Amino acid sequence: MDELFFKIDQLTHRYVDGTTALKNLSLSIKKGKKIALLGNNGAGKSTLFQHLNGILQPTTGSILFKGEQVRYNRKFLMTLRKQVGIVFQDPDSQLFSGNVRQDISFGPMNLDWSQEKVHKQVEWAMEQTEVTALQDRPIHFLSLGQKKRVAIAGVLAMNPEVFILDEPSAGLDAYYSKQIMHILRDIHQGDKTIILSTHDVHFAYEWADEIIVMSDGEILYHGDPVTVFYNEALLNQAHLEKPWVFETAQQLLEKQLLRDEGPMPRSKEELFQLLK
Amino acid sequence: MLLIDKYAYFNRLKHIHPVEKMTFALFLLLFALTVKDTIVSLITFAVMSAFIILGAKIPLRYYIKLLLLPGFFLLSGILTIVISFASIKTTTPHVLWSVEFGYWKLFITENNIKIATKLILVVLSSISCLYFLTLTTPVNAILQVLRKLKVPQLLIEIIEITYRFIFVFLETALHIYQAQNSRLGYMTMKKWLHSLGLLISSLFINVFKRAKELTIAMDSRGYTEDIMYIDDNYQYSAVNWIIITIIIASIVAVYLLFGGTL
Repeated sequence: MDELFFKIDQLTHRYVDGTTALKNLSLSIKKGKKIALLGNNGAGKSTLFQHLNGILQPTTGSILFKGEQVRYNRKFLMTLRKQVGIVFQDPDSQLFSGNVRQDISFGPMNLDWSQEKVHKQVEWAMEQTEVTALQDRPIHFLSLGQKKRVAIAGVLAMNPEVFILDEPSAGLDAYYSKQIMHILRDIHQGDKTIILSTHDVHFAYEWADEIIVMSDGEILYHGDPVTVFYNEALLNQAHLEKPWVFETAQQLLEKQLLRDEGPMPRSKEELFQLLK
Repeated sequence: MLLIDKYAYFNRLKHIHPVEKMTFALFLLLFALTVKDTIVSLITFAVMSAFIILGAKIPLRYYIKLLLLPGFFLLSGILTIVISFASIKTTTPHVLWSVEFGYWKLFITENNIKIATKLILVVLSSISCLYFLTLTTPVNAILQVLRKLKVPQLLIEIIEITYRFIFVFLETALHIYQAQNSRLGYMTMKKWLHSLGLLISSLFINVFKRAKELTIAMDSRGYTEDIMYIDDNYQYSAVNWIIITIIIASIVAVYLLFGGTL
């Protein structure tokens, strides 16, 4: 039986200005999954993420974390946030310290770890995100891509069980997007749960165990990463494209240029292997 | 970005322990200000400038530019000290230069020149001490020392976040300005004023947005009461301490030798 991390029931969120960002949303997130959240701009992805970290409180509905009702007192939020780390979309709103190493150590220091453990975690996180060479730089000397990696390192160093990333690859070049994919693969092997929002369907298709499609505050789809791309109406509604691997495979299958065996190819390599 | 800030991170003395640099700069500063002695000020200025230019390798041109910054205030202060005026009937000793018009005369006395020279030297020596500190020591290194000295955490956090936000706002303001300028927002005086107003108001909105986002981000990383970090690693060096002691002792000795009293 898969352990349930989050169970969201009938969650509605209305901002003070009256816009409803989430409408009666129900969702279960299992332990150890790689989940990609797709959706057009303004679909409510960031709002949903902020709920998972206890930053926002539901207008109606409930959120259970490991079977326990999320409470918004200091103590509960502290335990929640130790286990759920969130990397925000705009690194400038997350980074504030004098230099890179200090900023990365901010989270771990709040966890009351020993000095050695903090040092070890910070070193490790810097290596993973390739920012070790930048460690003495002040934040305002960094480029957007570098800031983004430092922001990820800051959460990585806290070693949370659930990793939430709001558009981690936005603003990064191909090399560093790939780098982040590798980091995500590595941390996932340590039995972590990863939830990320992205506009990159190609990446989501290749990487995710589950895909969630959101539009206008509602979940349109939650399931395996292949089925969703057969559903043209849904793709249109959520402004999604088909991943090129998927689309190419579809075309080749139609023209009988691809061996029709097993599941749809999910990556470039899998596709090339199936070519006749 | 701000050049003065950039040098603080990329100078040749950045690896020196901040406590050493702060002791050195602050001692010389306080000594020069307390004794207000011409020779002490001259030596302090020379020593600090040497450390800044030769030690930290800050370009001479940039350093001179920085020294000229307080020049305006200095000049306006000096003029009023140097030039005196009185009625022509007053006798004034040791006049170097005077001009009379009507019942009044403007004049400069030897004594005034002395006071003014002393003032200029004291000002130059003190700002050279402060420039030494700002040009060689990053803000976060100074804050690290202040933390060790048990300065109230609240004050340090305010300085720290203010420092970070200076750059966030400079950047935001620059982006808004560029966006406006590229759409011809600053072509005429009227448009210029209008665009500037828009820039300032959107910067204000940005302040609140940023502050809110930062609070959220800090909370989600487990912020409770104090901002804590692992400290940057600086090594104390015996050689540095010896150099600092020798310089300080020499200056004090010179002062005493030339008739000063402590």
